[in-house]
Amino acid sequence: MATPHSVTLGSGDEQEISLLEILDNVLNSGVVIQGSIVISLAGVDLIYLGMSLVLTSVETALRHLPPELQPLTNQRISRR
Amino acid sequence: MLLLYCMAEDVADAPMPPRGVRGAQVQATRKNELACYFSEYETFPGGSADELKQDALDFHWTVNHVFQRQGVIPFRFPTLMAEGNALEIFLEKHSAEYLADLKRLRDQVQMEVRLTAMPAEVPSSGTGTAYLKAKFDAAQKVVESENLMKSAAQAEWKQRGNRYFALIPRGAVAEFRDKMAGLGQATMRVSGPWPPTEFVNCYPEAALDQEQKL
Repeated sequence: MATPHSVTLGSGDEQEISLLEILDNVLNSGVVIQGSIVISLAGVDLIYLGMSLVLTSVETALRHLPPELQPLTNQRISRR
Repeated sequence: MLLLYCMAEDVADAPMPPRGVRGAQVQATRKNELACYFSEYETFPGGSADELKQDALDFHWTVNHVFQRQGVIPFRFPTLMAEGNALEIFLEKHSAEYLADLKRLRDQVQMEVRLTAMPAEVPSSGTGTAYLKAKFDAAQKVVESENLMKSAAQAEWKQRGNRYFALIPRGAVAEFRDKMAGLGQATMRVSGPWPPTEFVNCYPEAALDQEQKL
């Protein structure tokens, strides 16, 4: 199977997958496990999950929270 | 500390990526027909934004090495776990759910199409009404392209804003691109094949215990 690549149709501009698309994919797709404390690493907010020590990005984790947990979680999150 | 890459069905000739993020050895732990790929670090290899960007790229190519041969469910970068025992517990609890998704999506890949309106042709000396009409026409072409796109390709579709995700057979990538190529009403950027993350049913809220959420 070919490696991922992208093309803007109509432009004839077929190319290897762009850096932006790769970064967008690895940072915004995939299994997310959210936690309760936010830490920051090189300017990127990450979440520290208390019980099993799992980190992931804040924005994407919050997006997957069930509605009933959104207010509670937002109150509990503290930024360092 | 473990950096998790992806999960895949545990097959006999499973491809093992030659190296992972920061050149670390890639390992796999296996549980109930599920293989989970990871690298082990003394501490998380943080660094500058540029280093993290390179880490994200290394992560992509590591996952892609497995994805070339079989279906995967990637973890979002960076997902870290304290130690192997935590991973064992996680897999023990949830391997069946992820395995069900992997089997369902075994021969499927995800293509992404981003639809954006072509610049509206607004007459320079036109009225406000003409301007709005031109904008409306451009937006209409996006809607038309969406309809054409969905009717042209036999696929399961999901949408997030102007991003459309198609679940297609692994061998139908070139055909999919060809079909999209003839639909030039709006600007379409097609990328893929990607792991079918938008079509995975097992999401973290299902995988978390109540005490972990609190």
